[in-house]
Amino acid sequence: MKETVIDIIADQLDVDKADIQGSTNFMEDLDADSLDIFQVLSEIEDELDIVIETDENVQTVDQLVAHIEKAQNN
Amino acid sequence: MSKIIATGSYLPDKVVTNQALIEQTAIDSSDEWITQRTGIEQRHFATAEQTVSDLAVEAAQDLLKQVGPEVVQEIELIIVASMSSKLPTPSVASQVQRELGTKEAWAFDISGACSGFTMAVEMAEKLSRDKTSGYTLVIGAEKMSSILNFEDRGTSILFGDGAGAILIQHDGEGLEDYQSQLVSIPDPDNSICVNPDEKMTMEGRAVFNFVLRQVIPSLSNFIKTQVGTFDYLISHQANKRFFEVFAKKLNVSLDKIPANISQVANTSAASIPILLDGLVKSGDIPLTGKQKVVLVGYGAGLAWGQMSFKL
Repeated sequence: MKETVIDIIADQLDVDKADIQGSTNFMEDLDADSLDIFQVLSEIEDELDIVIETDENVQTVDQLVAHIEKAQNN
Repeated sequence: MSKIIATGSYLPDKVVTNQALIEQTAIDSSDEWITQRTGIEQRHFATAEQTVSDLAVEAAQDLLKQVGPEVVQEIELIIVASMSSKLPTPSVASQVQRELGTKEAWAFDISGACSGFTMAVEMAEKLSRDKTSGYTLVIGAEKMSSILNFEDRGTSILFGDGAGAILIQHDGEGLEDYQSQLVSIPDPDNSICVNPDEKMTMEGRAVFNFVLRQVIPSLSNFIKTQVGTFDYLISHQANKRFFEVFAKKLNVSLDKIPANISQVANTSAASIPILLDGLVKSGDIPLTGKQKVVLVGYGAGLAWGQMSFKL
């Protein structure tokens, strides 16, 4: 699943997959803004057929993966 | 059927590029950043003396040039959508009525922020069904520069001033093939707000969340279940990047989602009629009744409106 997430992030933000690690911070490392992050979330929701809770900030790839796992377990 | 027979618009003479805005204010930004993140290259700002009703009247007069001044006395209804008038009363619509010289008409405003024009069209369409003659004038007009905090990068780079108008000729029925859906949902945080000190605040994350999770799925369902194929999606101009998401989620070509945000920025309730007028004047929408359009406006409330009809 993490590979799929990284693929989507790379595609949406137009960045190299090699630059995306678990600790990668969307805003600080990938120059993303809020709309970028929501676009990534939206694509992941469509791809994995889940709804991700977004009340909390999603700042890093690991945090995003944790939200996805939580959504998949609900 | 009732039909839209003319459109008009007005953009103030003063053009403010991103670079000029940065130099004239305390905003920490760059032309490149603004263009890349929003699609906005410039906006128009009214003079200090110009009021929202001045902009609305200019748009109406532009429209009337195409149909002739004799129409003025046959206007039965004037609806203005605006969130930025400094004069709570009389309504902007009443001021437009006075300035145009319309002797007797029902004139009122709608405060629906960026979805205000869709609310005004809905009201106009429904009310026009009872009228077998005469016209309805619907205007979106905003002087957003008067409510912006120019120290706030999150809002001050996004908005511009302007007005747009449409004229509906009544024929005892509504607009052809008219379908609509208007929705408001509670917003406990006032994500988009003009404070008592008259300056605007906006919580960008909440607004993006609203657009991506509420507006786009609703619009997609509306088009699938009530519209089918269409020629143009005439969207509120909030952020160029939304159009790419719209195209992808709705599975339509970007060519069907025209945009003028690069030149006029977000003019709130005026954005849809200004864009529509540009398409009419360019010949892309010749008002022959053969094209189907979808309008979508969304913003503070939180609220959104979507409608389709032939024009």
